[in-house]
Amino acid sequence: MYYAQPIARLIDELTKLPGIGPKTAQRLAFHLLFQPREEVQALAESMMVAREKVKYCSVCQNLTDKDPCAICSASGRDRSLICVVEEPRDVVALERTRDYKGLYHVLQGAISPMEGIGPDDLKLRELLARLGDGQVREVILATNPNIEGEATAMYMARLLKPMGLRVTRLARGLPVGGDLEYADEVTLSKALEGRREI
Amino acid sequence: MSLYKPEALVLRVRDFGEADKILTLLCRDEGKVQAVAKGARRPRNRLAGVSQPFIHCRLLLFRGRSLDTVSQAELIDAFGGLQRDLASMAYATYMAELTDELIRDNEPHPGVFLLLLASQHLLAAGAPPEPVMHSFELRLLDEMGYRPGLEACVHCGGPLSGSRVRFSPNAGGVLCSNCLGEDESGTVISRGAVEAMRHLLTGDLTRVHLLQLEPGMAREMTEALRYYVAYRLDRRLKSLDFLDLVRDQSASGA
Repeated sequence: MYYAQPIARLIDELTKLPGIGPKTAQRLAFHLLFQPREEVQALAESMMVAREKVKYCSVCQNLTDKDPCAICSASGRDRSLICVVEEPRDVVALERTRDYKGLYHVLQGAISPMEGIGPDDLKLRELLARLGDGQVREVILATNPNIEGEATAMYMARLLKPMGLRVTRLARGLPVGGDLEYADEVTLSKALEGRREI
Repeated sequence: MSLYKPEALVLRVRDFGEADKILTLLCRDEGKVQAVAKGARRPRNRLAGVSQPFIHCRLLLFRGRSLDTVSQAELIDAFGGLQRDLASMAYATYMAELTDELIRDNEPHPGVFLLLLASQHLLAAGAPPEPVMHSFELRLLDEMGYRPGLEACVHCGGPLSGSRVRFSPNAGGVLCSNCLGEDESGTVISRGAVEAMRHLLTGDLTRVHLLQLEPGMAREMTEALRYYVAYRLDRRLKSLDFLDLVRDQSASGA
């Protein structure tokens, strides 16, 4: 044992964080040791509070500290529109566009046959329950543009279309500010497929 | 030589680190290889497009100690047909997982590469998936040295007599109606199903999807081959759950 026991324990705990190896953990531990007491206290407290208070919104399954969450309970939102995403971070990404005024539904994952993740492991039943009242007209499938996201979107489309809803999928194509020459072939052919008249 | 340029099919993709992916590749000449595609989870990354299952591409790989690194990638076929249809995708996923499970790293299997490529083409073109899948299973088992004996009884060596025979993973093939009791493993199937399997194993691969399978016989074949595959792998493949789900839905007319 090279370190005093409390330091060793701190390093040990930090190593458990994603992307943190033993060296980084050491650096962080020593940084914390020489910080003012209040700063360290604030960090420790914020971690505990976040862990204790954050839960799933009973409506959209997003992470929230109050139920229903701020988006679900906001008055100015278009309640006929639900955007289905995989992760809470996707909600943040879409909110940053400031273009979308509808509601969300967070699946908490995507169908991944090879990993053994099926539709029952997602928050799909909760979505179907929300669609029962006839208020929703359109469901936007905003799962990731990869095989898992695509499988999830197609599976949901099969479930939702017979309910008489408009079911749409996010477009795929070239990134803004990108360069055509450096676009990969798959993206480029998708962009060509989804071209629009201007 | 630390750089090489294999032609490959992507069998499987896993997230790695912050923004990377690990690709399990089936290379035509090099066999199964694991390679890191750096930054492939970022939308503007050059490797993002090819870092997806089923993709057929030509790569420039840098040989590493445990993992290779993808340096450049050129798409040959994205198999868009597999990404647009849920059922085809489910069948293709099963075939990719089966290949990944049966082949060991760095063992060249050019036959398996061509088999998987051809089968993916058939599925993407909208061929009936059941015969394509069964033909793939049988031919893959054959390539790996697990070819089931379908010509004669594997116990007595005599011709397959009687209408019901046993497809036994334990005995490595079909037991005729007289020897049926010699082994308890596997399932009892009709002789017609054996005939059909023989055709799927040895017939022209590009025409296997034209074989009309009567529903009862298709069920027998599915069950028999599942036992056989599970016996060889000693476990059940994860993608089967999803395949069954999609298949049931399609069958119920959804």
